[in-house]
Amino acid sequence: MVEYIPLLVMLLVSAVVAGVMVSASAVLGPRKPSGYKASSYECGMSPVGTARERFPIKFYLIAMLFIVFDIETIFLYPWAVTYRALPHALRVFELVEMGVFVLILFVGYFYIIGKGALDWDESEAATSNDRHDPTVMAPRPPLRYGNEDSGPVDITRAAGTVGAPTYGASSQEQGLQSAGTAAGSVR
Amino acid sequence: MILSNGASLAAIAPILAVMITGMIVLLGDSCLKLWRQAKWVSPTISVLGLVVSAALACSLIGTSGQQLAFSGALTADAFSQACNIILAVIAALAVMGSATYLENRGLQHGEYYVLVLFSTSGAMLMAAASELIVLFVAVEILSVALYVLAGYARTERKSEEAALKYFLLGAFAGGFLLYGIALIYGGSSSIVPGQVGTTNLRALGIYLHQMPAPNQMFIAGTALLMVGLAFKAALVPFHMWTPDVYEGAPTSVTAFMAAAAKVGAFAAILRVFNAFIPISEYWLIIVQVLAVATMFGGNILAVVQDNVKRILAYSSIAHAGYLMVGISALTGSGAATDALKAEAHSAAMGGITFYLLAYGIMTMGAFGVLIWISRRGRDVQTLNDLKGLVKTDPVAAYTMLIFMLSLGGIPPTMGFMGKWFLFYATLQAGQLWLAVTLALASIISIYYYLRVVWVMCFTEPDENAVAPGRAVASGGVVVSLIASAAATLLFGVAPGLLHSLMDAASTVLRP
Repeated sequence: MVEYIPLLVMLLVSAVVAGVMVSASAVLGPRKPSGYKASSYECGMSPVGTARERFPIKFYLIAMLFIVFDIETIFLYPWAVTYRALPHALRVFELVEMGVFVLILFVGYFYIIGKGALDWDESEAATSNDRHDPTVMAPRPPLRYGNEDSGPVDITRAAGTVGAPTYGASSQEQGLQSAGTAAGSVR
Repeated sequence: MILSNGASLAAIAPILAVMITGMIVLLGDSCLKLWRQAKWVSPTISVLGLVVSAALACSLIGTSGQQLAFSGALTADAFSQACNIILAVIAALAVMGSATYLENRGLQHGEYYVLVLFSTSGAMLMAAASELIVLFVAVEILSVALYVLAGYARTERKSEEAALKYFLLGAFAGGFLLYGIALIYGGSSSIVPGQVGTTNLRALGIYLHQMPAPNQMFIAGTALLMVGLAFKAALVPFHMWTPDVYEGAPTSVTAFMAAAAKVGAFAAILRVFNAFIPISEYWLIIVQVLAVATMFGGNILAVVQDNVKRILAYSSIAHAGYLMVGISALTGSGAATDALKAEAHSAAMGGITFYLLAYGIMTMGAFGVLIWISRRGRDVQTLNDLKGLVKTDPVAAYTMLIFMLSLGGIPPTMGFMGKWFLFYATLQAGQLWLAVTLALASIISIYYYLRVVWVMCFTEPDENAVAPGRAVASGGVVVSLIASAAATLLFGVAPGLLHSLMDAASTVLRP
């Protein structure tokens, strides 16, 4: 039981430090809220529209394939680490085993290529019935996924004032606010 | 005998053959245009691969003895080769029966055969696994492919429902299995002082034999392991998914699922509980209760069904109960001397192996008839679809008659001989009451099997039921039906032909 006391002390200290930091900045910090600050953070991009829009399902497919191959590749690491320590008699066998593993990985790779899972250009893959069974992937009208309104907002046009954006805070915030309202009114 | 790595690969050649065939079909179907356009290529290559696998298993079955492959992770003994033969036969029948059925339903894709082959290899690994972790991986290889196959008719709601239900419950049961393995690992560390835990069934069998007083953690692990395996084998308290999944999945998938998954599950149950025989006083009563509940539950619930696929689903549950009786007979609990116990053990082993083959063939046959009738473009589901079949399609009706009699255990069929061997083994084991229960339960089952026969033979054809549409000639189904009907009758009359197969099973020794 006694050996857990330092752990408890550390928990207390960290709680106190964190609490002091948060409350001190809340009490002492200056507060000048603006629309730009209150908007969601998008890595410096202007936040436009909702995040809950339709994405191409290919992102999902690519992500899934990535995870599968990523995890399978991780198996190479423990193998590589223990390989050196193996007795000589086993080395050839282990090398062949890993070769078989990679070969099986390639089978999957060629399968997804053959199925066209990596064809990003949709127009060709979706319309050529030869690649896919027509009952599964019936020809369909060309779709543009995603929100038609999305995309970079032309701040200058939306602001309707000056051509080149000035990097003073006030003018940019003003431009952003009007851009937001403009995008909202389009939708 | 512990095999070297190279010899291990040779010993599991039948399993490798199935896996490699699966990969070849996968590559060929996705990458080669000509392969894809000729619809017969994938099923033909698959059947060829399975035949090669069965031939390899036949040639390896003679090299008897306890061959431990891959440092004891797999046991490549004659029993696993016997299971390889049984599973290859089942998968070949399934592939042959599927091709035209899938085409009629617009489901013809190469992936189907790939999934069938991969899940077959999983079931084969289950039969060979002598390490619980390998067992779990094998169960997942079998199951993941089956989840996809159950939802193969993906535009149909019932098929989707079947896949989701099977997946969720299967994942849950997989959790039980894994937790049980973990507890067994933890519990086994204290069986022999100073030992770290083990999940190797052979090592566990030896430990338990030396010191048959497991701790509570070990017993809890065994119980959880039993739950996980009972789900896969569809024993009664864990059977709820079976009728829904069997009904929703495409019939060709149902046939394969019913046969292959059960063979794999029972091979695994047999391996696990054979190793745990020294502590049978802890689990024997549970196995017996499961057996009785499964036999009566499956048979009584089948009586009230109107859907043929559901009848066959409940019948498959009941057959799992009969096989559980065989597992109970393994222990030879009622036999007086050690020699008699050993005799009961080998009788039960042979009986279970024979029954697995019999069950596989007659189930494939019964579903095969449904597939054959469905060639008119209508998926046969209810008993109404079978009305007056003897007039509209006499060959199908008489073939179905053979399989129904066999499933009910009426001579001269394989089903009768299978039940007889199990009955005999149970008597040898001194479990008279269980043998009597088995006989009583089969009497109930005759009612609903004969009900199917009655509907086929003694009712007028329903004009709306069987749509007189195009009758696609389907060579594969015919071959698979003829083969399974012939085997059902032949091995029912002359079961001695399978003597070597049954002897092979007795190489799994009592620990």
